[in-house]
Amino acid sequence: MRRGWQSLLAAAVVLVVVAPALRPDAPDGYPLSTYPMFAADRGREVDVATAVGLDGDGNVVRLDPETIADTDEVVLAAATVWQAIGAGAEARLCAEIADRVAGGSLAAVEVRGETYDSIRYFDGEESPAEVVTHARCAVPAR
Amino acid sequence: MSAPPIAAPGPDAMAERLRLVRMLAGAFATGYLLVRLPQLLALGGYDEARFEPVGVLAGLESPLAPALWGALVLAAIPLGVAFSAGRRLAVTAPAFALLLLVVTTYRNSWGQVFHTENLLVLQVIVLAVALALPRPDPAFVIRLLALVTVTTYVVSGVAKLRSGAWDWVAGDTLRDQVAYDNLRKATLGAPYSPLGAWAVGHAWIFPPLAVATLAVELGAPLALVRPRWALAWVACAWTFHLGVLALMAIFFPYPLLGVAFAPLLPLERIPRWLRRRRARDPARSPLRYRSIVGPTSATTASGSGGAAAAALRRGSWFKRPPRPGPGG
Repeated sequence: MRRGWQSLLAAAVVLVVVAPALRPDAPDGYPLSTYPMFAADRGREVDVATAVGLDGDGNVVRLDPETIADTDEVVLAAATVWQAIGAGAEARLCAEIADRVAGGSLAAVEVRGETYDSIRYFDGEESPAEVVTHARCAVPAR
Repeated sequence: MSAPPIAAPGPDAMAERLRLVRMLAGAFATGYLLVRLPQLLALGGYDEARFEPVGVLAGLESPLAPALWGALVLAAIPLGVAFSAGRRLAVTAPAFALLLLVVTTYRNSWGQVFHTENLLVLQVIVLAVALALPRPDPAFVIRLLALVTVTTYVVSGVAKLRSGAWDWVAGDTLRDQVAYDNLRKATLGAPYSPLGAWAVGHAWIFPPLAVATLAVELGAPLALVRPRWALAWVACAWTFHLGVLALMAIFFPYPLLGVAFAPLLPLERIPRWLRRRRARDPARSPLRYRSIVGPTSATTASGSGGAAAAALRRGSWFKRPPRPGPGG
């Protein structure tokens, strides 16, 4: 009798964990997840949302996740930039980042989308094939 | 001469394993909260526009007040200590599981689901529900934890098949994923994997890695069949996570530190192994030994540790080969 209940309970637990994967096009959730992180075929040509600094000569300086989104998580920093672009809040994000780097060597900040061939990038072709600047703001002096 | 068979552990051994799994999962969760404490508390200052609640918090219309959020995070830590130490589990286990669920859900509610804490939280919830019951069956709880573990891997494997099975097996998807992930790190000013950056230039590496990945994920249920198969699968899954770390610089601490696999491992043999070591080398500090094992390591929820000790005597993975004599 007890074994029967245990089997039922075990089946129910499995069903709960599997449930998100049973629904086609179900959004990812937490803690029950479809675990889509490495599943999708992204192709070689990829868009990356990021924010960069520009020095006085216009040279691009890469900013870290802490500067971009007040986090040490790369994926969260990327998601934050995507969120801002999607919500039309790129100017506000740009100003926040500029505020964080104020008083440094940077003259401006850009929130941008960059398109790369991800395989060729690591073969030395580090320049993006396309850059779309969504917002540009001056870094305040302190 | 064949190796000693790895027998299925008896009920007392399973009670001991459950105790150790609870200690490990609780200690990991508490340590994780402590290590991530500055980043967790920083969420209280995030812009409301970034808030995208998921899971049990999906109904929230705005972020929590920073003071409330800070209080929840800080309250989870002592509860985690109590859970790990086995204090008043009927109360502390459900309370800790609930707080851990809320805290990690909130962390995942800012536009990015991380997938690093899912299994931890699911295992702690199963432990909490089981330990809050008056007379839990340790063997069943351990099986349930193992079942949850392997199911998450199967779901992950199925996701890959659904997104394009052939491309995955051919290695193209994996190669593109490794390249994209490292590229994203590079463009966001973060360290990326030099090994991954090198590997994406060599396409032939990825088909075997892709097949191995799918084999680990979809083959996870084999770990439930026999203890020896469980050990083999754990070794493969751990190696898989090591590969993810090496190629993508993504650290999944719960599996890489082995805690995720604890229900599948014969942890109950460790206390006996430690006792043997101590007997062999009396100079070792007894205080150090006791701090790891605890004074009643062989005592189980069902009573005396005699049966557990007998079960443990049947054979050991930690048994050392006979030492060679002076001539050998």
